[in-house]
Amino acid sequence: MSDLIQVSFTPANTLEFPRGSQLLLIGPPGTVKAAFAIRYLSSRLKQKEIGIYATTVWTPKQVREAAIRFCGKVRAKTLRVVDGVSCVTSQASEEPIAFQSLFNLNLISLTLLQTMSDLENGHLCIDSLSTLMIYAEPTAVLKFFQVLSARAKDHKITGIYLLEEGVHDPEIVAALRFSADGVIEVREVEVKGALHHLIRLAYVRGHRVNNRSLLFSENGPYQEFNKE
Amino acid sequence: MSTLLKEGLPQGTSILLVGPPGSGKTSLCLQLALEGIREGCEALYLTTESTPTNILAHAQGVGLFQKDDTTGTKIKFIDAYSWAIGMRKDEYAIDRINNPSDINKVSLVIMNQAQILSPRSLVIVDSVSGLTLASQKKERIRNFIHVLAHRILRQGNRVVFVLEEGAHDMATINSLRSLVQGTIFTRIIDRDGCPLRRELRILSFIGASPKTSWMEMVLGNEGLQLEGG
Repeated sequence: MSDLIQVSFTPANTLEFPRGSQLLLIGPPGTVKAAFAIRYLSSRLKQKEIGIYATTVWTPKQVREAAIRFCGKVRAKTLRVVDGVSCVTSQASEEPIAFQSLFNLNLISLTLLQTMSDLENGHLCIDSLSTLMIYAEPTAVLKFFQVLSARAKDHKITGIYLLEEGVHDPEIVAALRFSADGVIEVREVEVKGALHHLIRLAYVRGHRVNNRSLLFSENGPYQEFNKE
Repeated sequence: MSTLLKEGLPQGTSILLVGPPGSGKTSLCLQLALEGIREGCEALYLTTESTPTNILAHAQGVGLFQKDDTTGTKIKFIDAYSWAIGMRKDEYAIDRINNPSDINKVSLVIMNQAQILSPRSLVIVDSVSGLTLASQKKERIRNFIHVLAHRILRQGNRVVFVLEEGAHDMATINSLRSLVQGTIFTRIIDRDGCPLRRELRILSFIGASPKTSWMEMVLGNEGLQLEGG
């Protein structure tokens, strides 16, 4: 049925979630969450929309390189990368937008709000809530998420927030889940000794979704997963 | 054979190397260090489990380098072990950490030595578990890894963090995995009547699609080799 939303890149490599929805992207470490998020933003950049990517794990250079792979140099240039890595190494950032410190959630949300203040209908990715929880109390990060996602929603900005699975207390994950509009899940499967990644849109509040798992692929459209 | 390891770890990478004791983590680290030195790079090795002298004896014992080869002595060791047994500084150590429970001090000593390394050098922390056991505040370790990984990356160098598999809960391992660029697992296969097999798997690597199957680590004439998959 075509009215169902699904995590699947069409042959034209675009992907769309309901405008203004705030989605958690949950999966174990090393399961292509960031690659998926950058590919999603790139597909929107291609449509001449604006994307913001806040990174604390990939370096801004790696994010830009990945974006160039997905949508070409010209469009990738319009990606607003928020550098959350330079402050960790106490060095000057090469990006125009950067966090001053990961310890101060207020400053982080202020930086992000400024970055998206002129946007309507943009796209925002935060990579990741888990890193923020190393520097701040999980409950403070929960509050941060609630404020930021409410603002993003207000601007009709679609938000994707990355969260590592198997790291945090179940209570915090549950609280984040019910504060968000929907969840995208990634998991790892082993087939004939090699690892593959399955991705699915578990649910989005108020929308009918197709939540079958699809096989993650770097470039092509996502395929149905078949154990054989 | 995996190109990722064959061609050496890419510049500016941070790796978490996880495995049970005796599964070949130290041998793999030494192999990477020796390869780097032979290509004209430098290697900085923080040890918490053994003295530099013993590590070099181990490397020679398993055949990573020959008796008359001085490559091993070019590894720059930071000794965080001798203090525990009340020994004086090891002859191969360029620096020493007397109190690994102070993670800030550890970070400082590593950074002081790391910032004078030539580009494309390799930094090895063997092991993070040893530092965690000594540390009073375990949550500080994650912060330590995040900062150190990115600082070394920024200099265009490479870093390997070694983690003992049994010494941590899954939440800690997952959390550390999420802070580095790639993860490698090692394991020992013990079948009745067969010699022990040591195997390696590259689980994930940012910006690359590594071959994720298990490969056997074999000690041959040219040091450690990877076979099969």
